[in-house]
Amino acid sequence: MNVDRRLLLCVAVAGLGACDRGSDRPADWSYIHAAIIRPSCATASCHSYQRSAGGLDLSTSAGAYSVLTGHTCDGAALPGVADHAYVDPDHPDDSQLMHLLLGDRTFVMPPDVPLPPVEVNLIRAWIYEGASCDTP
Amino acid sequence: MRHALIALAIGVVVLWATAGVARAYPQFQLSTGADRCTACHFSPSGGGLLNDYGRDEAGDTISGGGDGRFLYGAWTPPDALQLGLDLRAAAGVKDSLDPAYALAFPMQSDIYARVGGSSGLSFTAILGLRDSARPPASPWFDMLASREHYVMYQGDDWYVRAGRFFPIYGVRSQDHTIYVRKFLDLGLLQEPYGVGAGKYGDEYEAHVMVFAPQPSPFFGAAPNDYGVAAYYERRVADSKGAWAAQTRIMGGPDERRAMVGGVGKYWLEDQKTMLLGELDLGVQTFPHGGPARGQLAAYAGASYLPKPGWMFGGDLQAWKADLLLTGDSRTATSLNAQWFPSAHWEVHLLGRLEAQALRYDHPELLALLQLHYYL
Repeated sequence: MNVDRRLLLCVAVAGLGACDRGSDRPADWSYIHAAIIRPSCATASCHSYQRSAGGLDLSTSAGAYSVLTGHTCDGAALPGVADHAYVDPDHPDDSQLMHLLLGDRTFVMPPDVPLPPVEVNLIRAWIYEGASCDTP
Repeated sequence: MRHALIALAIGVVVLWATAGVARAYPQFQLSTGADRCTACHFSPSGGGLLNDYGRDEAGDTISGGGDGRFLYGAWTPPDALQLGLDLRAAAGVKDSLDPAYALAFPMQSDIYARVGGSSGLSFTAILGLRDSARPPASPWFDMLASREHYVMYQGDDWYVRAGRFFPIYGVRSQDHTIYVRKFLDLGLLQEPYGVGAGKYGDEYEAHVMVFAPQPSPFFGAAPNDYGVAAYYERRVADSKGAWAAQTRIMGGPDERRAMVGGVGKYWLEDQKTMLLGELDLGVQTFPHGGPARGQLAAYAGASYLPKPGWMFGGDLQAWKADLLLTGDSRTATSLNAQWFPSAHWEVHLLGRLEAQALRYDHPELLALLQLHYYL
């Protein structure tokens, strides 16, 4: 059964978890930002441009990458932004972002709707694979 | 006059607070005899400014009584000017993965102004304050928010409007945290800019809107998308019930989404219970790579209105960001008790349990008490 048919089947039965396709979700920043970060973190009260809670504006893919890693998408270090402030490439366990998502050493983020494990694991994989930026 | 002065004093104090979002109470459609939002509101989508009939109903039908007019009738604006004020404060407890913590915050402070008659050309604006400016220190105007501002031309049974407002879609609850708003980009300050039009019949209404990204991220948190939304509602059973079909297609540089959905409403007169339901299915694609996601958002609620001034309700909600993935579903169950002691006041107690992937062994709990004043 191809992916489209599986998707249609799941829609048809309105399954809340009957299928599992986590392995083919790409650990790419463009996907992670569009599918997870923007809808979950860049809300009006939190890390939107206007609110920028904690000094973090995560509303755009390139901007969010910069404030989390301290580097622009082309690799240049950002003046005034701590290097690897939230993301330490190749080292998810040393990355503050992971601690925040898991709430293991600090408060959990997002505070009202913590991310499900499948999404946290995808972000972990992205960091582990070097936390590169594929945003065009 | 004393009521009016108290109201103004409260308004001045609390206005320097948070701009939030509150819209209509969809439970009052059909159950009060009003068959569509514009029976009580100026806006075709409901919410915001009440018209004269809506203000009368606020005193006669909705609440425990009182004078629902602006400033309690102490001063009547000219016919071509309508004014209003919405203030909300909230306090409660939130318990997620963290230890439980207390919440207390000003929730909403909106001034409404509309210039124009009941037909023809009009201009509507909502101006409020948001809770905090962008750090470090920002000019005071960074705290301003105008979630709606539009010009509208109304005929006898149609309208067209342009500006900033939500497309008419879904049950349109005043609670911006319900899943069919929050996860469908209909949440806080996500109103897009666009052009909308609608037509009313004896037993139907139809609305369409084309929209574009907000011109600046300063305006809120809407996706950077262009799109179109359409909504058709048909009333049935002598206007005790209604069904609606809806669709929204939107796309931008990072994602594209197409949704179709349905809404059902039914007033059980003998049981004094209003039923509301919504189901949305969609497909989200990512132009930069990644598999398409099938998505589902659902809401089912029942509200018991035993007598004027009281409403008790419960709902079930579900959100599935990716229908092919295990473990990313989210469900919620809410209980609401709302008391409208007089025409301008509301006390609302909300309790909600949320869980991921149906794991209710450690649910997230929210208990929130809201005080709402409408001038």
